[in-house]
Amino acid sequence: MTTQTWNRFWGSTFVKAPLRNGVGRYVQQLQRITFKFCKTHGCSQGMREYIEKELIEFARVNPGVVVYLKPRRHRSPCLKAEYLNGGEEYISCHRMTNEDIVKWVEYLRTRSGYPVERLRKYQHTDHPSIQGAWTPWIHRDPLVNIAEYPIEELSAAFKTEKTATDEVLELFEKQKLSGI
Amino acid sequence: HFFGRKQNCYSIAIKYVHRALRYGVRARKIKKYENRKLWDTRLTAGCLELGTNYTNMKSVMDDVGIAIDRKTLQNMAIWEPRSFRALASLTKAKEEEKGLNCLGGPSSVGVVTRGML
Repeated sequence: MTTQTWNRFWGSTFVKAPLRNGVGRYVQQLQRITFKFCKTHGCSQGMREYIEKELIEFARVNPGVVVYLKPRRHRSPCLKAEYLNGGEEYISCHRMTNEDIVKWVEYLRTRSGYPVERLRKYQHTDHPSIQGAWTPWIHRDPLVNIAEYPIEELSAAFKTEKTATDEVLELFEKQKLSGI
Repeated sequence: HFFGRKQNCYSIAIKYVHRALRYGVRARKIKKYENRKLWDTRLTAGCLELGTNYTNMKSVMDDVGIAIDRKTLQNMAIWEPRSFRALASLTKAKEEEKGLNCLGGPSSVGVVTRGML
């Protein structure tokens, strides 16, 4: 499975935060973590070590996260994280070491509940305009608002080049200035 | 986005999926070209509304040293129209000096000739 296949078939989104999370205060999006492990089998050895050494510290540091432990016989160890907006993440911890599980738990703690998808743009803004977006009247004279039609000036043809009349007038002005 | 058997039957779908992937690869180059054309169209429209034209604006911005790319410029024209109007009035002021749109050539303001030219 290449990244290209993944990106094409597993969707794409724009950047978003649940309820505009970081804009005001930041609320941790992780709601609960479930640690499922076997008490005897060797694949859960790292998970058991994590629970003995690191878990209590994690629970103390994150009082807003509910931690569940599920000891189940003959099952692979796994982490299941659930988020405030209803999203879920599942990670299998089969034969992972203590350090690996620490990192994965940290990864789950910092996720928002949205699924992993290709980002179409890396920026998003609710307010793209400061001066106000373009309207058809923004560059027009506001006198048009109180005008009484018909107006001769606005109905006149656009002048693209200097007309002969204009040139003659200009010559006349120049002559006056030079004092002839 | 496939319809009917194209989305449910593997051996039919795989052909259309391969075509979609080929189109995706080809489109990456085309997207850049199409976007640039779109920005150019928008900027010509914006300039004409304000009484200059796009070629003059490019020329003047080159001269003065404002290095704003087409993408940001067209965003400005849409979302920050007053800033774009400022740039347009800059071009209108400078194009006379540079001698664009006229037969006379560049004006000799600030050029000392001492009668030799």
